[in-house]
Amino acid sequence: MEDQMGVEMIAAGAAFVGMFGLFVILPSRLRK
Amino acid sequence: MLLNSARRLANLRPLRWALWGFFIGFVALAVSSGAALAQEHDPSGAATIEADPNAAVNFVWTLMAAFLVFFMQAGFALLEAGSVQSKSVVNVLTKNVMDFLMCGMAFWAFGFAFMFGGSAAGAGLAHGNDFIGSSGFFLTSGAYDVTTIELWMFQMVFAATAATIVSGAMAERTMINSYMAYSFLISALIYPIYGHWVWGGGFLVDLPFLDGVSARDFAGSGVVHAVGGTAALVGALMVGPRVGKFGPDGKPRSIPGHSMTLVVLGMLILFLGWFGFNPGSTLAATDLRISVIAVNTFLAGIAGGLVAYYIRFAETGKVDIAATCSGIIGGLVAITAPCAFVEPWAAVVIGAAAGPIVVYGARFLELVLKVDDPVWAVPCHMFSGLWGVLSVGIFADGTYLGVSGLIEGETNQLWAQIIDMGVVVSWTAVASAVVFYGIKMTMGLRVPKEDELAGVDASEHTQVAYPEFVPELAGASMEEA
Repeated sequence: MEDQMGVEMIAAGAAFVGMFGLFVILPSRLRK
Repeated sequence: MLLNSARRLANLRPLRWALWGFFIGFVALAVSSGAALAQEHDPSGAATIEADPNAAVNFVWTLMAAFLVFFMQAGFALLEAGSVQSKSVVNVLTKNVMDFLMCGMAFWAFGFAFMFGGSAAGAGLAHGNDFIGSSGFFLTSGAYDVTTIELWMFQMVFAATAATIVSGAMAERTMINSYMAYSFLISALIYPIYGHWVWGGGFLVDLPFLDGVSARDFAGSGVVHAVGGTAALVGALMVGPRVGKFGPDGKPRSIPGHSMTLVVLGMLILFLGWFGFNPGSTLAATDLRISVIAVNTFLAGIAGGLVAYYIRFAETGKVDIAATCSGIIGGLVAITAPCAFVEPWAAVVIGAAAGPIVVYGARFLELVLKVDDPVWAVPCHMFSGLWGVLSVGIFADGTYLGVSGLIEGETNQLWAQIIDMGVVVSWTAVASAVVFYGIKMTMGLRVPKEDELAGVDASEHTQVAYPEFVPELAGASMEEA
């Protein structure tokens, strides 16, 4: 149970990094 | 051209981060979803309906209410579009659309888990502490359950509402990318964390020094509207007023919106959506308090509109429909927290009080704080929202969930509501200020002055709302004809 929670937390952290890159940083780089 | 676009994307470091993040996330999800089978959850709904035959009607009620709240996005979009100049319409519409796209993804991945983890409001939501939830990520494993996912649907549209409130206050001068960055962070962190404190079993539930009384916010005057309104105030302060809003002497000038048709239509759609927002928050059609909640919602809305109408009529000798619409919105926002706990007469008083709160609050913003808020988002959502939170502690009559306010001789509930008001303003103001300041220092918040004067639609978008009014576009279409 604890292991599974840990895996979910890792997934959530990774998704946060992914979405931060996609929604916060990437649009500024694409801007012309 | 397609190849060039692909090459450009492939060379971007943030995109590589994003892809790695998603790759790791999905691998971890695939690993964890296997363990879901070992947990008690009901993805088909068969066990839920067998255990509770009323589940069907309650599910339909809650989901229909969620769809009504989703329709409020259309109301916000129209209200804001009508309140800005014609050169900024596409920009404000884009913000309204992007708000719920990003909010939906963020709320699915982690926002919902941060908010409801530890609440035990559904399967797979067992873990969390007083500050933040830590279960229900991605609606997978134990949270892959019909009841939990029904709750997610209803709460996601609430989160999208909180996010979209900010766009109006910062309209016509904010860079679209900077706004998107903020919108993502309010949906992912600021809104869910405060929501957890009130609705997710956080520290504002069962306050030990008030004999276990909880701060009460039935449908979100504080959780949704005061959060959105406070963030709107911080955003408007940080981005500064539109060019020409304040004269050299510091006096505010009127910059009228371009379409009262859109404003009125947007307000009416919002009013309709509120019948999903407030009565839907029972999450059960079998809770017959929904009739009281619906009538309270209606009465507060019309009372707020009537008072705002007469205030402006007395001041100018003419009818001000924009202020009347704002008074209605203020009344609806104010009744959102107390709608289930008060009698209809109290709903009229609460809504009526929101009228002057909105009208004089807007004036206070312009004359004292020198804040330019084109859609009156701050007085409607922050000021009225805080009044709504406070009013629970005054007018709750003790007939529903045992919540009693000052009129019943109870002071603990009033203190709980005052604490809640302090918490929502402090948390949202500080968190929003940190986020907006970070964005301002790195990406920049405001478009250049020449772009603002030409209109943000022209500088930030590939379309304008009314091409017939743009000489070069109108000319081209005439030639083609």
